[in-house]
Amino acid sequence: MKNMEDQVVLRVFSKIMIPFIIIFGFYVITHGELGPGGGFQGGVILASAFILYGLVFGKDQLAEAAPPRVVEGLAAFGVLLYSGVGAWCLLAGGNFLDYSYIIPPAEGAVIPHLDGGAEIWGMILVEYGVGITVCTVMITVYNMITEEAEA
Amino acid sequence: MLNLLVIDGVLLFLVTITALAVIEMRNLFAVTMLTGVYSLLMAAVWTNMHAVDVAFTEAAVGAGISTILILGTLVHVGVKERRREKSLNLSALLIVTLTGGALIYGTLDMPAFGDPEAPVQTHRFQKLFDQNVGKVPVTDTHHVEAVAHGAEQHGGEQHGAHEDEFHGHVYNTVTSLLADYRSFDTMFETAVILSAGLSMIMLLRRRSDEEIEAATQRTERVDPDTIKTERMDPKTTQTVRVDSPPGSDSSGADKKLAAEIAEAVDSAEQIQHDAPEETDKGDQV
Repeated sequence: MKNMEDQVVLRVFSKIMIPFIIIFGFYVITHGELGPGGGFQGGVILASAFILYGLVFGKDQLAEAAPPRVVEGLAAFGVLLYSGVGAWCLLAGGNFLDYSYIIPPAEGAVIPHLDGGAEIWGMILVEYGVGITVCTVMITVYNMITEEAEA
Repeated sequence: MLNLLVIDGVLLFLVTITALAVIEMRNLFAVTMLTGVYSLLMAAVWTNMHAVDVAFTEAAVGAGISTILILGTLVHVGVKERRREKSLNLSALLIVTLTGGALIYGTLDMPAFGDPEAPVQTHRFQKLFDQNVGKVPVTDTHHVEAVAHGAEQHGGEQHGAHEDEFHGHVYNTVTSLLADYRSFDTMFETAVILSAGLSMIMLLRRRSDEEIEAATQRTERVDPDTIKTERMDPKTTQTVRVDSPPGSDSSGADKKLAAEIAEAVDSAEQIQHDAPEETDKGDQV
């Protein structure tokens, strides 16, 4: 595990692939309501990019790219984002997590929004909440396992 | 249809072989790789059954992340599985056979795979298929404008909101169910994932030398004069930490440690004792 960085093929290949994996992860999260996928799958794909980085370049480099403090904070932030969307809907006058209320209605518009637009906004936010939590928790689990191994 | 069945048959045959190999093999590294293969094959089976979301999850989680995590675990436990003596447990075999037989008997009542007359194809299907809401082009503009545009482009009937029982849910039924229809469920699932991560941290985190140093210094600050004798070197602190119950591994443990030592110091001062007694107490912590 220590000498993986010396292997040119691994190093170059992973450096090329990681941006694409990250883009694909965000794509899967964002397009979860249109195609297959969603926050969970996208989060796992995002995490795999970081884990690949950690595998090839070592855990110190990974800790530099994704500081454990930030990662663990983001894990909590994901849940907060999810429940925050729910609370926002509540404050806007709807039920908890009733996405119809997420966009304030225009003059004379009828609540709830039934064309799917408001729901898509709610879903994207919620899916990002799930994605952030899943991604960061996966990175944390990987961190914990390797930390124990190398200590 | 026949082709599909052939592909399914081959895939499920491979799945069975992989599963048997996983059970039989003793080299855990090979077993890990075979679990990944198993997930990949299952992903292909799900895709064949048009369950794309399940296939996606199976491929990403089963073949991807969990393989890596199991490999990480193998670093701790080694790659060899201890050989067990093989013995035939008759009662277990009987129970397993009976349960399996009952399950197979249960599937006999189900409609054939892909049967167009099956309830899942007929029950409410036409109604759901015909629904328009949520199928309008989504624009960034406000929903009212979107509705207006949609009405112009596709005719007024496109937005029969009240006829739709899904209340304008989005294209992908699975995500729609997960993120909206069962959004409470998904929210608490996310919370479960978070708590899984937190328990990993609490169980496995090792504190760095600096953190241990900081903890020791905090201890010193309690009473610099008396505490000197029981100043802990990092090794001792680490042993104490590992032995302590898993829940207390956070910085709270530091405070507890400091508090207990301070208490020890206080009691020592009261009875006018000297250093050895305190060291004993410190070891007990």
